[in-house]
Amino acid sequence: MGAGRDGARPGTPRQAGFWATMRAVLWSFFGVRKRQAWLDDAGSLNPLAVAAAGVLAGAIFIITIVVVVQVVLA
Amino acid sequence: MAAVTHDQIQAHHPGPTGLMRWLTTTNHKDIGTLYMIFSFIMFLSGGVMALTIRAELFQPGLQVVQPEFFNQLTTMHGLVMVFGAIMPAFVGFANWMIPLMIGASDMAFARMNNWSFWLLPPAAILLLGSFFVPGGASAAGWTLYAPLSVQMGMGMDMAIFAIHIMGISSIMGAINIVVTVLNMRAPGMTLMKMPMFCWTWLITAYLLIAVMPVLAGAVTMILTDRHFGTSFFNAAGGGDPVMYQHIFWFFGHPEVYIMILPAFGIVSHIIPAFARKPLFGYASMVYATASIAILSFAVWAHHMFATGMPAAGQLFFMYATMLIAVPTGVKVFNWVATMWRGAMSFETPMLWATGFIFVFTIGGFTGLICAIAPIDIQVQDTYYVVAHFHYVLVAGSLFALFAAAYYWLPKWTGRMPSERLGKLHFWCSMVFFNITFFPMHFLGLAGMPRRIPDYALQFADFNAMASVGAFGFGLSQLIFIAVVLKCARGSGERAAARAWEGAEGLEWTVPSPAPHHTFEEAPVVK
Repeated sequence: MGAGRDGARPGTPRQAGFWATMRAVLWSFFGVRKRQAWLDDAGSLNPLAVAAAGVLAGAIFIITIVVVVQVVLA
Repeated sequence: MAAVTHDQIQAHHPGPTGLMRWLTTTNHKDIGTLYMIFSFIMFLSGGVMALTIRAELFQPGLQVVQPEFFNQLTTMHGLVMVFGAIMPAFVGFANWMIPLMIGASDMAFARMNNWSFWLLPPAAILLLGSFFVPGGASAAGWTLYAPLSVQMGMGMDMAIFAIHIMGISSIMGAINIVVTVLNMRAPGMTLMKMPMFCWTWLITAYLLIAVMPVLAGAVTMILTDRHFGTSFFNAAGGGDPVMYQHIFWFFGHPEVYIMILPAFGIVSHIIPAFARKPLFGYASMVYATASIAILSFAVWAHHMFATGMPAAGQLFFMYATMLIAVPTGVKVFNWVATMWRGAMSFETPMLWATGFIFVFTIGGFTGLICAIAPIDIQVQDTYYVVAHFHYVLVAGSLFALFAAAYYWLPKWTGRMPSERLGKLHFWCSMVFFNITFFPMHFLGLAGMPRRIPDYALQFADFNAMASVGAFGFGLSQLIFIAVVLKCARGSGERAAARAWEGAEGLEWTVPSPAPHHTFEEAPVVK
């Protein structure tokens, strides 16, 4: 059915760029998003890019904690 | 159940009847019902084991069971409740409700769905039957830590095989849910219009696919250590028993979220329905769910602080675990904000949902306390941990399951559940649950270890209290059977299509009880 392929539907607004995708993912790590920003995300994000950005942000998150731990122990 | 009676089916869909109908069914509602009946039977079986444990612990000394059997009971209680009761119950809800919520006619892989379910009874027979083989059931704890699990009798092999089978069932169920949600939504239902229960299950399904093979790998390595001469976890052969714990908890921590994320989804439907307001921060809820799922892969070793690890490791897992509290806190905030200034009424599902928020939050907070490495080393393997995870799994997962059952019973059976019995069930469960598990915090802080059949005299009073509460809690669940039987037999007030005044969603657009086949023509979502 059509809904599953929304991303490819004609008339879909512009695709979100790298930073817009990262911004959405980073907000997701905090778990809060304004309604308008969410509507913009829903219209423009590419699910595959979100998955890739999620993995990248996860790696950054882990590296950040490792760095904080190293600083604490230094 | 009355929802899918014989006559209704025959009128539309000639096919096998009686037992063969249930064996061969590919209908998502039938399979959902089977899952729920199965999980409730397992819940009662695990409950009887819990009550035997509590009977033994009512007084110091050994009165009811032998220590070896006691260990089998604690092990099997955990395995049965996690893999036999909670997980299949959520899959049952997913089967019944996801197609109705997204406007699909059935699950994507209907035959695989049948197989997913029918793998479970043999696994349950293996698990429960292991009590009767020489050496009895596995007594290594539900975590099946090596080297104990390498040393047990054939009951351990049966548990391993049962876990393999249940894992296959879970993975197939999860694939089915992912494909159904991604491909079979009604036209117009974009991902961000999708009901929260579907969102939380979609993310849970990904977690299942990611971690069930890890568990399968862990228990397979135990199996080969036991019978095929390998030494994965045997230090004498160059292996490492602590490696088992790493592998197990890499599965085990996401597993905790597998058992709680669908509960979050359920509560996110019930609170708005009875507060008569849309869910506050829908997008945040989706994002927070995703966030919890991702973070759940980076915290596993907080279960292992006492195994000895470098300070850097302790700090890493401690910080990561504490950060998970942020998206979880966002969820609790959103539920409370949804209730804020809402036109609230407290029918039975809402009682369970608000009760869930209250007691689950206590479990969340004690989780934060356990996350702090220096504290955790003190309370590791004490009753504090037992109290913590029962606040999460009973007050969290189980209370949400009851909330969902009362919420959707009208849709399944066409009858409203008895408010009088439902409220009695809630208040008895709530009071007895707290009588059972709250004193365990004090027992744990005082140093009472878990998984022991006998204890020192100073722990006697709180243990007696917990045992009385446990029997009260167990007996309270019989009220639920009465409620369900009453609805299933067709007595009680008739339910309208939209059974609850404030309920929203496609499932409330079909008649109650839901016909055997729904949405053969996909609805259009505006």
